[in-house]
This record gives sequence, structure tokens and C-alpha cells, in this order.
Amino acid sequence: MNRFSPILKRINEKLELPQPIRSRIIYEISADINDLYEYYRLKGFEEEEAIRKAKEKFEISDAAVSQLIQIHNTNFRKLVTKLSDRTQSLWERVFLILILLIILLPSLIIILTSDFFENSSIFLWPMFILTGFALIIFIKKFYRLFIIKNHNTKKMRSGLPVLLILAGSSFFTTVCGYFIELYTLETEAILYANNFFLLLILNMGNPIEKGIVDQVSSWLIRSSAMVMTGIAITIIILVLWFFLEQKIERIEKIEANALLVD
Amino acid sequence: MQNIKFEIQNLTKNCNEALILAVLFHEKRHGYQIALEIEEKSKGEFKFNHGTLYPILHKLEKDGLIKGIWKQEGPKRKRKYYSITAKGNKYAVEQFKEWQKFFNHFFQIVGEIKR
Repeated sequence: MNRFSPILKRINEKLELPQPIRSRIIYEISADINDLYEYYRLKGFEEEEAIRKAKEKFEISDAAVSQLIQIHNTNFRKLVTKLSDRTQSLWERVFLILILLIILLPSLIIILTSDFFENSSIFLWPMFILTGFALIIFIKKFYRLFIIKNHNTKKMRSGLPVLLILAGSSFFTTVCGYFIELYTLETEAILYANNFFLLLILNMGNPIEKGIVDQVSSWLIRSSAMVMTGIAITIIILVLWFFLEQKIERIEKIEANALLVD
Repeated sequence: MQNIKFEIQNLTKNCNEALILAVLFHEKRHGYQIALEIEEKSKGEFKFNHGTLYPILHKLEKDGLIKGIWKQEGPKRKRKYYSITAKGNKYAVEQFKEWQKFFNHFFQIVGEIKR
């Protein structure tokens, strides 16, 4: 039981902020108000008087609450909250997982075939490196949160923004890779066909034109495989991030609720 | 570096910021210690309501002038300690200079009453 839970509850109700931020503000106030109470006790005040004085000092005005809301409610945070709020119910989660599986399974089946790497674009390798980093971060976080259950507030969220950066980098590499591959194909085709690239594709009579068609086909396979892998990797990293974000949010909610119990 | 708007309407805000930065200038502190220290050092002249302290602290943190670090103290206790950043140090020095200037002008005007 927390002797200051009524005041913390009041502040919690007023703070219209996403749960993680709200919980952190409540932790902070809870620690400070308890310290202030102990300070008054050490000064010789009776328990009742020390509680009253501490409560008096921690009365947060509506203006202060709206300032706190203004400071913490960034657009990015609003988006993340919307996303996690929308996937709270079971059927919504199942629906999300089904969509992800529909995208991911065909991609993974193609990636795992032997031909895939033979025709692969060089842009696939940076994406695999990014995936490697993301997996290391995920395994580390998973071990901390689920196995040793180290719920240290200071470190709980560390690494999560990196996962988002890695997902963004994977997507960026995909887009850039696609256009660089396209550019390379175009320059090679122009070199072969002396500026009549499109006309020659339609007229595949001689070996040079046949060569161009082969090149175009090879480019189509290479770039579509790269785009598919890039999107799959981006989605996988985002799913890993979402999974950890949800777990941390749950932990923070439980801990904040414990402070609010009468 | 953020601009210091040293105008009459910002005096309370600047005063609170300057007091907090002055407390954190040499040592890290947590919220309640900051408020207590300000109150004790000013012999009760600046009575800081802890409730109004958090928006100021969080704003300073968001602007990168101070840094909040969580520390686990005991199995169930977590505390957030604040310390001043390099950017905050520069800002504080600028703020203190502006206050000096402000009081010089203030006493220049008020001092005329004595004569």
C-alpha cells in the first residue's frame, strides 16, 4: 500500500499522456513525495503531519498538468500510442499477424530457394547486416525482459529506438538499391542499343537485342527479389520492435498501477 | 543553443530556470532535493511548490539543458536524478549574466529613490 496513492491517482487521471510517459512521471513523483515525507519525519514531524505537509507540496495545478502534457505529447509518441491502442483486442492482433504472415511467408519461401542468392543484388548484403544487428538487439532485450526479468527503468527502453532506425535504414536501402539497379540497367542498355532501348526490346531478332532482353529479365528478378527482401526485413524488425514495446508498456503499466493501489 | 528571452513577462520562468540550473550546476539532484535546496538556501524566500517543479524540469530536459537518469535504489525504489549538461552549463552562465544585467538596471532605477 502506498500512503500517497490518492494524490498519485489524481495526477494519473489528469495526465492525458501515453502510458509509458505517464508511468514515468508517476514513478518520479512517487519517489520524491516519499522522500519528502521521510525528510519531514526526520525533522520530527508526526506521521499525519508529515503526510499532510508532503501532500500539500505536491499538489499539482491544472496549469502544471497541461504544461507536462504539452511537453511530452510529441507527434511520434501519439502515432506509436495510436498503433498500440488499435491492436489491443485479440481479433485485431490475429488480423495483424495474418496480414504479416501473408506478406512474409511467400517472401521467406523465395529467399530460401538456392537460386535467390545466385541472382542477388549487392544491396541485399547491407540489409542482412542490418537484420543481424536487429536480431542481436532483440535477443539481448528478450533475455533481459523475459528470462532474467531485469525491469530496470533506466535500461528498459534502451535499444528500442535503434530497432526503428534499423527498420528505416532497411527500407531506405531497398528504395535506393532499386533506383541504383534501375539506373545501372538503363546505362548498360543505352550503351548496347545506342539509345533505342525500348524499340529493341520489342524487336528481339538479333543477338544484341536478345542480350538486352536477358539483361532486363535478370534485372527484374534481381530488383524484385531485393525489394521483397527489403520489405520483409523492414516488417520483421518492426514486428520485433512492436513486440518489445508492448512488453515494456505492460511492465510499466503494472508498476505504475502498484503505486496507485490504496 | 536556445535563445534566452529575458523580458518582464518571462521573469518568473527565467527565475525558476536559473534557480534550478544553479542548484544542478555542481551536483546532480533529484526533484525533491532541488526544491528543498532552493528553499533552504533562500531561507524560505523562494518557496518552490514541487508540483510546479516537474514541468520546468521536464522542459529543461527536453531542451537538452539537463539530463535525467533513473537509478534503482533498493528492490522497489527508483529515483530520477538530474544533472546539468554541457549545453545547460553554457545556457546557465548566459542566464546568470542576464540576471546580473537585469539587477544592475533595476538598482540603477530603484537606487535613484535613495538620492
